[in-house]
Amino acid sequence: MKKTTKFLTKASALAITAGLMFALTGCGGGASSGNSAGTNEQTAATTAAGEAATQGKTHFNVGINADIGDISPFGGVGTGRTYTKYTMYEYLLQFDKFGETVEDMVRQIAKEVDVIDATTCRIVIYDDIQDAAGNLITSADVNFCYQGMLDSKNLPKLNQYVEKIEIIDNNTLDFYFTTSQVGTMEYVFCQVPIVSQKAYEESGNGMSTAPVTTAPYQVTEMIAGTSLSLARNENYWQKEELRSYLAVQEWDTIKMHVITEAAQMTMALKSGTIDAATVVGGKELENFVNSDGSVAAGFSAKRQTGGVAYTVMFNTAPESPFSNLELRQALCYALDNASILAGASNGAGDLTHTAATVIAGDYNPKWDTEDYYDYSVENAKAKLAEAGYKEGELTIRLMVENTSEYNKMAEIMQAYWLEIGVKTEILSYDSALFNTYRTEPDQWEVRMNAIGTSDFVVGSYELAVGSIADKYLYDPQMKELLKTSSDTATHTQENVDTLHYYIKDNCYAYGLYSQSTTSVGNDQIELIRHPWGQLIAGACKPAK
Amino acid sequence: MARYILKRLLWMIPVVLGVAVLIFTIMYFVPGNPAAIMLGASATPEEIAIMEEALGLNQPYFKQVFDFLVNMLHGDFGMSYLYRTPVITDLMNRFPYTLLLSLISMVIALVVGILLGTIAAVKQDSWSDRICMLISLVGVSMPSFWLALMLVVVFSAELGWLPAFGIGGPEYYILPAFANSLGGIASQARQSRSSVLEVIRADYATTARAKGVSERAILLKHVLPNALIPIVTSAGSNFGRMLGGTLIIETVFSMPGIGTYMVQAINNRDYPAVRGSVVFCAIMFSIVMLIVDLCYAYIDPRIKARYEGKKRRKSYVEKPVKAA
Repeated sequence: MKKTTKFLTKASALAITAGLMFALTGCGGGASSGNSAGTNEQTAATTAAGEAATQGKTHFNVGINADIGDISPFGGVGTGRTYTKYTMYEYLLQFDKFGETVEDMVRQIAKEVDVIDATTCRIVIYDDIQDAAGNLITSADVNFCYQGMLDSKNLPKLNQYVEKIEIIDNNTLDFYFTTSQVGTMEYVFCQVPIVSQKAYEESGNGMSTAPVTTAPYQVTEMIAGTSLSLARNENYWQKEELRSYLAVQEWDTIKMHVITEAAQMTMALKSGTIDAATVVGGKELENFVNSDGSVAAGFSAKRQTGGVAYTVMFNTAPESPFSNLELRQALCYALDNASILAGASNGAGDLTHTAATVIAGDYNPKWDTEDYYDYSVENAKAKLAEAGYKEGELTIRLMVENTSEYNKMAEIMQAYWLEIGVKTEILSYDSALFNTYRTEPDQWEVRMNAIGTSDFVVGSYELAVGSIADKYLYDPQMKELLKTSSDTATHTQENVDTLHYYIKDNCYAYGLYSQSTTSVGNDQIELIRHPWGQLIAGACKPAK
Repeated sequence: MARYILKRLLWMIPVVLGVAVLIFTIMYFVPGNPAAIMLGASATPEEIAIMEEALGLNQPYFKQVFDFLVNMLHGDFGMSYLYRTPVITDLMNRFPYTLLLSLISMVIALVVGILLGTIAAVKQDSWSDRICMLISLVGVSMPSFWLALMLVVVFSAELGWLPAFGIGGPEYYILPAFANSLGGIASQARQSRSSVLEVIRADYATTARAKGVSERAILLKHVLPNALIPIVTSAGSNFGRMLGGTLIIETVFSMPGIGTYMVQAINNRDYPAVRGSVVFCAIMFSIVMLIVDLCYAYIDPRIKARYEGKKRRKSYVEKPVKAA
């Protein structure tokens, strides 16, 4: 028995030692993704990007916190896709700041833009556009791409806005729109990637794995759920002096790593495995940005307020208690927006005084100086009494999407409302269920939503109180005001103010704050972002 | 034996069909609209209805399930709503990563688990037994999520020896496999200890000892082979579960396996991907169970004989002769 025990002990010791040795020796090195850091070679490659630029090929590793999903040109919306699409594709026009009109937007494929009237626009594209395979891009290809996106129905607003497209000649198209709503042309011209019809048809799979495009970087490898590798397009067609910020080619190769786990993203940044992360948020941001706003040594950070505002929506259907204006106002007075911003988003945002982001083109700074249901428990209780409710009498359902930030917001709001005697049941649903229930008024009384716009507050108002809300919000006067302020002919600050005050006085939607996001990189990189928040990898500059 | 294998393969067909109908029905009735997710928050109810029609989601239940089953029998699970690629292609691309990770994890779990369990059984109630069972307890209690992150902190972030995430050469599988195997080590150790204890004091083992056979020989030739049946069963079921994808490990280490694919599909109501993944996992599990049953035949000749349909051997004891 003793001999057996000895034999077993030796065998297990050997096995464990062998296992540990195998694990600890780590036959790594030379791998292209998730490389271990800490060696001098790795440090030179990532933290001294400037030196590497003069020695030969430069490589940029970026971490993105969502799966890339569909990379085909006619794919739908998705967080991961938005991180990558500006690097993979080119569009007719693009934004370089909020609130731009088509005349101001940066030119990519489009050379000239001529707004003929409120619902017609002529686009002339460059005559020397070539994709990476050498296919010349003509207006037929532009038309093909728009028809492809329309047929896919992945961008419902595109289908709403575009009436028809006419090819005038090889480089000219006329776009006809169904509406003169402000932001229509801007939206249409920046949403559809342009590729060669020939290349698309030759791909055989709808360019779902290796799109051939006109962009400054071409996809060389895509591993679904893990990474996207791109290489500089050496035959990029646009002249140097005419390139927008989206067409800059600072790097030879770019690799986007999908890192969904926030702690992993932090470790990857700290170890130098990645050079930058598109978004770092929540508690992890404290590793890189100090409480006074300064950036930790060795890193750079770029914070940007986005086009999204967290907004409280009320179900004003007749059978809902929130058909009562005083009750809506009571709940608004009971909320301390600054505390919600601090508690739920660690202060990463800007307080807003309307149901839209503060950076929208027609956001009136005067609104910030006015009362916007400023936190007051007394006013809240008075309004509650006016509404005919005693403290403790009412229980409401607050529906939110099941994310860490929303859940924290909901809990803070629940506590504030309890202070005035309104009990709240929090319904936290996954994205799929939330999007299904948001238009079903029997599922909620109050809803927390991120309402976004690509340019103007009226875009946000349309999402908050427009036709999407018809099942639980019916106010013909407000619809009329919305129509007036959304039309390009009558889109004046005065009309927008009128609509803002109407929504505010009736408390249909109550904005809390605009979300801001932060990209983080090592201090050798200057981070460049799209106005909507995405990191433009190719344009991020290495230190010179 | 060939007949037995063929019979088992044929039995897989109704099992897979049953699973397919069940998962289709569950997904059909689960609330959540894939069209609404695909189109985003700006979509009106009318636009969502148009997309539903384009996806065939407004068809009656029986038509949808019939179409699904017919396509499935042709190996077509449809196109993923999320990736716009055929689901079968996605699964084939992702399965090798899950398979490799599961195989490595299983090998580690088996080798280390059986060793620990055997030591614990042989040295029952001693310090070795307690230490082995403590390791097992820690393994079964420790959350794999936490362990995975700790391994990354130590071996990747601090020491820089191993990569923190992604896929590539063998070094990319070390940390994930170790994190994934700890639970398996724990369960295999406990199972092994229990099985070996049952057999180590059996009559035939005692007889062998009485005949002067060494303990090593008794353990290797008599005890372990007889103790292996429940161990193999437990290992097979663990392996089958791993092949369904270890979501936490795949998420932490950004590995494009079946687990993350399936969970993303569920969260996005990507019906074709969910159905395809579940049916695929059902097929894999059935194949693993078949392999486990074949292993029984290899380990225990009596079971092999039963599979081959041979009659039981008659007893050697002769009938007593009646006195005249």
